Amino acid sequence: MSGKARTAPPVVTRRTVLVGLGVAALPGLAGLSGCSTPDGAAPGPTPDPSGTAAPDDVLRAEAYGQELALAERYTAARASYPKLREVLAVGDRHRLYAAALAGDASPTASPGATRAPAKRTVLAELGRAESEAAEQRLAQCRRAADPELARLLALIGAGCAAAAAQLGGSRG
Amino acid sequence: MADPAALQNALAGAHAAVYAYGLAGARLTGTDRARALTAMAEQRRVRDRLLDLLTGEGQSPTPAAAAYDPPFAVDSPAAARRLAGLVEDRMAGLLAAAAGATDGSARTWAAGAAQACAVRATTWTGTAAVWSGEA
Repeated sequence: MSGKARTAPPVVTRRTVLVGLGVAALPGLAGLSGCSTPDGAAPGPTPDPSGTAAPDDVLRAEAYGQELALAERYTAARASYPKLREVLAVGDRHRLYAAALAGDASPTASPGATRAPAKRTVLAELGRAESEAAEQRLAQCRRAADPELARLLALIGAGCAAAAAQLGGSRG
Repeated sequence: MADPAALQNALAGAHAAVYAYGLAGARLTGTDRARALTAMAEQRRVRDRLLDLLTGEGQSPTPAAAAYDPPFAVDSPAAARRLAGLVEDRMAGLLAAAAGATDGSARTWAAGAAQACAVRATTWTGTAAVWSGEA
């Protein structure tokens, strides 16, 4: 791990408190700030048109854009179906994920309207989108050079997979 | 290439997870009990893969403790489900850290296993954690 202060490996005593599972819990997403945000750019990392961006920057920008797009889908669904507000709150995570990828604590929503699908399919479609996002984050994790970026992408992928599971469970 | 500390942390977590499912399974019945036993088998597989990875790195794997104290009394099915959800959530975070600390097939496995844990955590608790392992 890249120089972050980590808890020492757990000492195994005769009885170890199960909470010890958290020994390697997030050291704080603040540690991610300042990572390769282009100078003077809008909130997130953007693909480098000159094609000279480091591969990790490309991955970061790609994942960032995908997370914001997913956040927009939830925004559109919520606007169309206010009664689903509670179940759709699971999508709030995508702005946090985009922010973490951007190294920015307060990302600005990207403009642009997204049309919500029909009510009876909106949860199923968002669930599929979450599953796809989990696959995308996994693929990006595999390609990341920076261990901290790989860990972030793995965590975001876990969050997307969990959101897919929650949406799947709430459909019935 | 792997950072052994993250793998050791995940292994310590997997040992605890297997133990926790023993506690939880004892308080569950029917479908939930079957689910707990399946999840325990999954955590054993996670543990064994981590053991292999550490041994392959020439490391001495963290041994399991003789016993683990749960963070709250596991005296009801609800408490058992809560413990299972907590364990899976923590494991997702630990495996994501392991993914960051490895590369190649080990990283692919760890990131996929982190997702599987996050899904199981959600199944137990009904709520998808935003950042696994944070609580």
